[in-house]
Amino acid sequence: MAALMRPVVALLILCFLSLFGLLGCNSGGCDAGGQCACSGGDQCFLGCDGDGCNQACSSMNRCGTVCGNNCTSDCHDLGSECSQSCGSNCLLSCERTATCGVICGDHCQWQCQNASNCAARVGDQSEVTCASVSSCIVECEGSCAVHCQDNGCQVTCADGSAAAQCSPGLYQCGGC
Amino acid sequence: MAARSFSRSRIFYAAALNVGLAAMFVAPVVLAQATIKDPGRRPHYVFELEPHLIATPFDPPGIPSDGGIGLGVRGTIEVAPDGFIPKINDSVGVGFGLDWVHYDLTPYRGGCARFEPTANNVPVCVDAGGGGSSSNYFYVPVVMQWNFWLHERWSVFGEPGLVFSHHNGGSLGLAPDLSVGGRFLLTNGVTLTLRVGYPVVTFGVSFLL
Repeated sequence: MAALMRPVVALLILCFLSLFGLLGCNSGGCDAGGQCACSGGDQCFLGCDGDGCNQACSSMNRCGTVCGNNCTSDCHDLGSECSQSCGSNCLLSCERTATCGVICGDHCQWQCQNASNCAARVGDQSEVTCASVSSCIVECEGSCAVHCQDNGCQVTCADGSAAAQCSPGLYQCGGC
Repeated sequence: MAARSFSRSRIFYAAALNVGLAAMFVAPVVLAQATIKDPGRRPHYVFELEPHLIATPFDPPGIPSDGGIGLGVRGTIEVAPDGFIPKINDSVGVGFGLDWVHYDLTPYRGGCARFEPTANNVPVCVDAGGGGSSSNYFYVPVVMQWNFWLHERWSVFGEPGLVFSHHNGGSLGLAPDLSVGGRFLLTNGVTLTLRVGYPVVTFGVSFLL
């Protein structure tokens, strides 16, 4: 019986240890300039190994994208919230999501549509569009333009003052 | 695509492991003297104490990962020594335990390492843990353990139940716990015990007290 035990015990241990080999695998990342997406499941936060990523989130509860400069990011149909953070020259959008939040640098373009709560802090020369939203609260850290046709839009400039309403639905920091 | 093939490889791996385990556990029974038809012919105990190592390829609840490793302990109280089926050698216990698992979150697809508030205090993730962040989970499983004493040295069990989970920075969660396993009797009252299932795969030593 002892002769039988040794190979069986060894096999059991081998079986278990083989799991550790599996744990070293990766399921892939989002390289600089690459494309990556999360869809389904509960939550996911996509990063980018540098600049220029094309990121997307859809059909899940909570999702976010984080990127350097020159990135694009789209969130749509999330149950709870989408968060998007980006450096400069980014093109961002968020649709059909309860809460959309953005932090981005200069020359950022963000569209927030069909959402309950749009909130952003954007850099100089940025442009924000809110459409079909319950609230759209934007903090501009330089000159920026916010297009907002709905009630509930609140645009604050870098010095804490409210943005000028240049025309119906257009708010700007840095003068009209 | 890489993520999809990895998921397939996980499924294949799990299936292969289960087939291997089944062959491993069943073969000796077929070849040697079985005890499954002799109710009561088995080690007698009231409490099973099972410290174990953990290695799991599965994701923790809600967050993609590259699997995890850890440590834990399981205690099982025998509540029905004669089991559910009078004519076979089975028994039923209630098991509970505590497992700690350290997961490597999947690079660029994991949880958020740091949030910052934007306007109106809406949280925005500013660090997706791209370097391959990690997360520690604690699990508290509560299961029914249905044992089948197949052979003088071999027994197998199924464990359906629930598992409470908590991870650093997260809230309390509840998930199904479903495992199958087997014991190999090393000496009187001491077995090697392997458990395969979700959320963890364990390998340890059971003390039948």
